[in-house]
Amino acid sequence: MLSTKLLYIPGVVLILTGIPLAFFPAWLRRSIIITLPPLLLLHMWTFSGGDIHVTWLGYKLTLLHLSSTGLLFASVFMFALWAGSLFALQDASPLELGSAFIYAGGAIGICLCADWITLFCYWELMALSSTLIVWCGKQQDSWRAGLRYLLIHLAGGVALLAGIGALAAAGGSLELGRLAPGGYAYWLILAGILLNAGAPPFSFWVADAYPQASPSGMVFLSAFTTKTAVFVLITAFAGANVLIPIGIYMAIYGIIYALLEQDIRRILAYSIVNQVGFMLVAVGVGTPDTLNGAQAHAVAHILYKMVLLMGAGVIMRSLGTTKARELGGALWHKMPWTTACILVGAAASMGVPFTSSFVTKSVVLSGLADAGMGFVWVLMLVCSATVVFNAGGRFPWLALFAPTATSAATSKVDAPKVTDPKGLALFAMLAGALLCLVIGWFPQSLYSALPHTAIYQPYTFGHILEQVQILAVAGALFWLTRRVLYPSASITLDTDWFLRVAVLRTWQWFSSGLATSYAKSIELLTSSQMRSYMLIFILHGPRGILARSWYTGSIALWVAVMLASYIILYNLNAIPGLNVLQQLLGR
Amino acid sequence: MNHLAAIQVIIPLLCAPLCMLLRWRTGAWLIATLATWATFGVSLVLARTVILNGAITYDMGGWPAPWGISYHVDILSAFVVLIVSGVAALTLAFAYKSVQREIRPESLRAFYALLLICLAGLLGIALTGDAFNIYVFLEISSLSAYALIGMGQRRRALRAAFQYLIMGTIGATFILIGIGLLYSLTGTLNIQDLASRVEMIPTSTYGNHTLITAFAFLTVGLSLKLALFPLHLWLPNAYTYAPSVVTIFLAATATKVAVYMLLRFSFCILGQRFVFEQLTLGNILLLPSLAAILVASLVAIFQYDIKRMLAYSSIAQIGYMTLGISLNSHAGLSAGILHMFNHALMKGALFMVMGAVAYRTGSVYLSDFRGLGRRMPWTMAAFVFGGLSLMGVPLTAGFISKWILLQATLEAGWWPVTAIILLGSLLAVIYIWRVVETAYFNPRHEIEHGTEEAPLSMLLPMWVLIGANIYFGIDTSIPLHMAERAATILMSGGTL
Amino acid sequence: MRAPISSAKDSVIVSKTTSRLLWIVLSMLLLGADLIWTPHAPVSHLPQIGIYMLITLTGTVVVLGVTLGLRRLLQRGEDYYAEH
Repeated sequence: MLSTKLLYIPGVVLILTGIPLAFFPAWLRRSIIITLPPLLLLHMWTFSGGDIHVTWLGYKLTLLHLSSTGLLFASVFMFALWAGSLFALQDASPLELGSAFIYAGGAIGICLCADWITLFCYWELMALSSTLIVWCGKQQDSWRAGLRYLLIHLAGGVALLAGIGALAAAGGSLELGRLAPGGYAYWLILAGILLNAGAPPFSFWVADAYPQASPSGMVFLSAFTTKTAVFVLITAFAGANVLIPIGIYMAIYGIIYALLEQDIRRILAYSIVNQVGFMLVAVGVGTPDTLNGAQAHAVAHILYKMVLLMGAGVIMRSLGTTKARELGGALWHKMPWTTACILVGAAASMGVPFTSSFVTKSVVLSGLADAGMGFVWVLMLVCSATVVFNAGGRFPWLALFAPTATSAATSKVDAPKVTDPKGLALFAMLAGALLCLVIGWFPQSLYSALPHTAIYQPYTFGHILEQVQILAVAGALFWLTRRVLYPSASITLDTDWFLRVAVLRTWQWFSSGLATSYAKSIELLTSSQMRSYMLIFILHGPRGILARSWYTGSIALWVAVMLASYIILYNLNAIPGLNVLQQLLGR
Repeated sequence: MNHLAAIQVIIPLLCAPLCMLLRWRTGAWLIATLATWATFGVSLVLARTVILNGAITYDMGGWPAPWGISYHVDILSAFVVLIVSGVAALTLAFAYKSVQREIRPESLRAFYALLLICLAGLLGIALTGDAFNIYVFLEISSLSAYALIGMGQRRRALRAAFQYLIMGTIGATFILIGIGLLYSLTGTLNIQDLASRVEMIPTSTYGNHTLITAFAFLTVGLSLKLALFPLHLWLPNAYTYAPSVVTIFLAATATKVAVYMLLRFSFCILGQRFVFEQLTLGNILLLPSLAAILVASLVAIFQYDIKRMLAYSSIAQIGYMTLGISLNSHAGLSAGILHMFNHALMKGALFMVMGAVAYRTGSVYLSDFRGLGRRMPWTMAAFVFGGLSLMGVPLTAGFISKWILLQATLEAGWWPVTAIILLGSLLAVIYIWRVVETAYFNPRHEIEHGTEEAPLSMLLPMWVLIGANIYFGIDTSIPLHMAERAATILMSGGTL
Repeated sequence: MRAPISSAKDSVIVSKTTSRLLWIVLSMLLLGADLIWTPHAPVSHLPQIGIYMLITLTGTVVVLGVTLGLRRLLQRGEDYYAEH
C-alpha cells in the first residue's frame, strides 16, 4: 500500500504532523516536538526498505532515496528542527511551530527524494511555509518583508518549474542527478536554485526577510532554504564553473554588508550569504575534495549559525531589540551560559582549531589548492579570515561586550528578565554548541559520512600554525579598527532598492500616464460620430466605472468586426501562398 | 442499458414541470436535488460503459440515424456530461440555504424548474449526435440561463440578463446560420453524416466559400458563447449579478459545454485537417487566448467585487482551454479538455465560497472579507485551497492541467507562450492574494455582520469540491485518462 | 558644555587608531616582503608564515577599504524606505 509506505518518508511525516500541529493542545504539541524529530532521525539511519516510487502522469517519481549526501543534509536538518523547536517552545506562536515542521519537512523531503517533480512540490511548500514563519515575527516590517520574500521565491519557483518543464519536454530524464550543461532547462533550473541560495542580484532577501522573523523563527530560516539550495547544487550542478564567480561575489558581499550593518541579527544573515558563497565556490570547482568540503562545511555552518542565532534570539527576547547601538555594554555577565555558547559558536565560525569549521574549511581550502585554483584559493583564504569581521569577532563583541552608545540602553540591561534562558531552550543552545565542539574534536566521524572517500588530517602542525596566523592578523586588525567600524544608525542600500523604490516609482509614473492617455482615448471615442452611434443605445445608459462599462451595442459591433475578420482570415488562409497570418506569426 | 443516454436528458426535463406543479417549496428543492443526483448517477454509469465498451449510439424513438435524431455518446461527451451533472448535483446540495436567502419565495419553484431545464439543455448538447439538435438544446439552456440570471437580488441583474440575452441570441443565431449553411451544402444534420460528406467536398483549389463562411459563423457564435476574448464582455456582468447558485452552476458548466461544442464542430464535423491546416484555426485562436490570459488576469487584479474578479479569472482560464486547442496537438488537446474538468472543480468551489460569504455578509466586496479568516475559518480555508488550485500550485488539480499545457507548448517549441502561461499564474497569485490578505490580516469590518461560520449544508459540498481539487491533484489518472482518450478521438476526426 | 568636549575626544581616538594602524600595516608589509624575497631572513625556514600573514593582511585591508568607500556611497538614514 502506498499510503502506509508514505509514512516511511520523513519529509511527508513532518508535513503531515505540521499541518494540524498548530491546532493541537499545548501538551500534545510539546510532546510531539520533543519526541518526533529524534525518532525520525533514528528511522532515517535504520531504514532499509529501499526506494519508494510512484507513477504520476507517466513519470516515475522517486519519493524516497537515501543517498549519502542526502542523508547527511537530512540528518543535520532534522537536528536543526529539533533544537530550533525546543528553543522556540518558550514563546513561539503555534502557527510558527506548525510552519517550521512543514518547512523542515520540505527541506528533508528534498534531500531524500530523487526526481525533479517531487523536488518542485517540496520547494514550493518550503517557500510558502517559510513566508508564514517570517510573518509570525510580527515586527514592524515583517509583513512587507515577508511579501517581498514570497514574491522573489515564487518567481524563483516559476523559473524552476519552467526549467523542469523544459527538461521533460526535451525528453530528458527527470531523475535528480548531474544535469548536462547547456540548453534552456539547465539555465532555468540553475537560476531557480541559485535564487534560493541567495545569489546575486537578489542576495538581499536573506538579510531583508530573516531578521523580521521571531527570535526562534530566524533559527529555522537560517538552517533550511539556503542549505537546501546548496544540496541541490551539489547533486545537480557539481563542477559548474559559473558558480565560482557567483560564490566569490556572495562571500565578499556578505562581509562588506555585514560590516556596514548595525543590527546583530542582520549581521548574522549577511554572514549566511558569505558562507553559502564559500560553499558555492567549492561546488563550482567540483573535485571530490571540494564537494566533500562543501557538504562538511554546510553541516558545520548550520550548527554554529544556529547557536549564534539562538544567542541573538535570547538577547532579543530579553531586550526587545538587536540593534547594536541599543544593547547594553555588559550583557555577558548577565547571561554567562549564553555568552559561553555564543563564544563557542563564534570560534567555530572563524575556524579556531578544535572547533567544527576548522576541520571543514580546511577540506575546502586544501581542495581548492589541489585543484590548482591559486587565485580562488587566495580569495577564499581572505574570506575565511574576514569572518572575524562578522560572525566570528564583531558579532559577539557588539552583542555582549561593546560599550553602549546610549545611556537608555544601559538601564535596560538591569531589568530582571535579562537572564539566561531556562529549561529546553538552554538545553537546545548547549546541545548545538556541544556539537560544534564534538565535530572539532572528532572530525573523522564527520568525514566518514561524506560521499567521496578520502583521508583528511586537519590536525597537523603546519595547518594549525597557518590558521593561527590568519586569525591573529585578522583579529589584530579587527581590534584596531573596532571603533572606526562601530555601526552608525543607518541602513545600507542594496539591490532591493530596485524592488522597493525604482519599481514602485516606475509603476506610479506608468499608471498616472496610463490614466491620462486612457481618459484622452475615451474622450476621443465619445466624441462626434462615435457619440451619435452610441445615442442609439442610450437606453442602456452608462453605469459605474468607465473602464468596465460596455454597451450591449458596442459588443454587438465587436461581434460583427470579429465575424468579418474571421471570414477574411479564413479566406486568406484558404488561398495557397497567401498565408498571411502564418507569416505574421513567423511560423 | 442502452436507454441511458436518453434518460440522462429526460430526467431533469420531466422533473422541471414537477417542481412547478408542487405547492411545497422544500419539495421543489428535494425533487431538483434528487433529479440532479440521479443524472449524476446515470452519467457515472454512462462514463463507465463508454470507457469499457466504446461509444454508444442511440436512436431516438427507434428512427435510424439520417432520418431520426440519434444520440452519440463518445468519451468526450461522457466526460463533459460527468462534469456538468457532478457540478449540478453538488450545486443543488449547496443551493437550499443560499436560494432561501437570495430568491423571493414566490419564485422559488420556478427557480428550481429553470435550473433543471438549463441542466437538461447542457446535458443535451453534450449527448446529441445531431447538429440542429445541438442548437435546440443550446437555446433551451440559454433561455433558462437568462431567466435565472435575471432573478438576482440587485436590479442590475436584469440589465446583465438582458445584455447576456442579446449577446447569447446573436451567438446562437450565428451558430444556427453556420449549421444552416452546412445543411445547404450537405443536406444532412447528423454529425457523423455531416463529417463524411464534408470530407467529400473538393477543397483543393480555392477552398469552398460556403464551408468557410459557415465555419466563420460557427467560430464567432461559439466564441461568444465561450466568452473568448474580446467577446467576453457579457460574462462579468452575468456572473456578478446572478444569484450565487446560478453563478456556481453556470461558471462551472456553461462555458465548458461551449468549449465542447467548439471541439465537436471543428474536429468532428469539419475535420482537423481542414480546420487547422487550411483555415489555420490554431493561429487565429492563439492571439485571443493569450490576450484573454493576460488582459483578463490583469483586470481581475483591479476588481473590488470578488465575484466579478473570479468572473474575469474565468475568462483567463477559458483562455488556457482555447490555448490548448490552438496548439493542435494531442498533448494540447488533452490539456484543454482536462482543464475543463479541473476548472469546473476550482471555480465551482470558489464561487461556492462566494455564495457562503454572501449568505453571511450580504455582499462580496473586498471590504466584506475583512476579518473573515477568523469568523468563517472553514469557508476562508476553502477559498485558500481553491485559490491555490487556481494558481496551479503542486498537489492541486490546477497544477496538473497547467503542467500538461506547459508540456504541450514546450513540445511545440512555443517559448513565448510558455512564458505567458507562467506569467498568467503569477497574476493569479496576486488577485487571489488580495482576498487572502484582507481576510486574514486586515482588521475586522467596523460593522459586524453575521459572526458565524456558514451552515453545514453549504460547507459540505464546498469541501467535497476542495477535496476533489486535492485528490485529482495527486491521483489524476481517471480524468487524465479520459481527456487523453478524448483527444485521441478528436485528432482522428471523431470516428473511433 | 559637555558635547563639544566628548566629540573632540572621539576624534582624537580615531586619529590615534588610524596612525597606529598605519604603522602596523607598514611594518607587516616590510616583514612580509623581507620574508618572501630574502632567503637569508631570520625566520626563512618558515616562509609560510609570511605568506599567510601577508595574504590575510592585504586582503583584509582591501576589504576594509572597499567597505569604508561603500559606506559613503550606500548608507542612508534609518527611515529611508519609509520616506521613499
